[in-house]
Amino acid sequence: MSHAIVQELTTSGRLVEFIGQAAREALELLCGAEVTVLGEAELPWAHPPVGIALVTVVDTSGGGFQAVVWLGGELEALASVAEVLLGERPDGEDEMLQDAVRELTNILAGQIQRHLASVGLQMGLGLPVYVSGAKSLNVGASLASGAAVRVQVGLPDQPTLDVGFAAKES
Amino acid sequence: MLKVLIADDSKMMRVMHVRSLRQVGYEVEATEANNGEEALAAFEPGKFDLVIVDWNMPGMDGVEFVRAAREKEQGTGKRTPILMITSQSTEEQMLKAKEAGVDNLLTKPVTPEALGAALEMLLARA
Repeated sequence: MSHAIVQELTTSGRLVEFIGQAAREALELLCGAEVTVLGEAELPWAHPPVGIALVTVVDTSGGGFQAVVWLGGELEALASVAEVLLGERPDGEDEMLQDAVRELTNILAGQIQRHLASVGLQMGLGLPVYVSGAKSLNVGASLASGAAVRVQVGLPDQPTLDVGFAAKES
Repeated sequence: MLKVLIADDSKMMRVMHVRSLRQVGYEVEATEANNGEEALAAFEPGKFDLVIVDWNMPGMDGVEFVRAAREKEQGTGKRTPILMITSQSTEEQMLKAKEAGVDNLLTKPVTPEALGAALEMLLARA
């Protein structure tokens, strides 16, 4: 049943709305800058962004789906957002950058969790994992019920990031 | 001087919590812990004015830490205010945190003002 809700949210476009809202709510507050949803982005399995963090999601309402929430982008874009949060710019793809991207993804997953709870999907969140420079992501070949959005953060260099959610029946 | 124990596996969040507390006017002496085990090793009844703890951490998580910290306090007559700041936001999860001994729970992201208001209430009750 729960996975059917995810599929319905995906086809109706409401999942995209939820993800966009979650991204704005989290990033605007954290960065103190306007966040614009530029449009839908690709699911990242075949062509993941250079830096990407994923949070696994477990259906706790007994319906049965597995899912992930992700945040990804080019390193310079990720570094610009991390710099605002940390007060200093990470040096390349160092631990500071990875920590910031993991934590941002965790926060975004929490926001998406809240939106999905409003339509009856109860989810538990796992620990975020950062993946560097992957050519592809093997997180479940059939994580096809999902959506992603590309957002632009109103910082001086206008960084763009992708945020998404995808699920499969378990 | 506010003596605060901050347990979060994210260095960024620990930095942000200290910065937020300073922004709303507190002088802060922070002890940082990367997970529940480190936090429990640092925690002693009456040693801190406040504990800020995340829920999702590798190893001992925030709820397990809070249960263990409250056990440490039993019989001492002391109760340190514990504020959980977490991404977990369902009612069931909030209830579980409160049952473990969390005094207040805020959902990330948290503004300095929201943190200050929550802290003011907690310290007034302490």
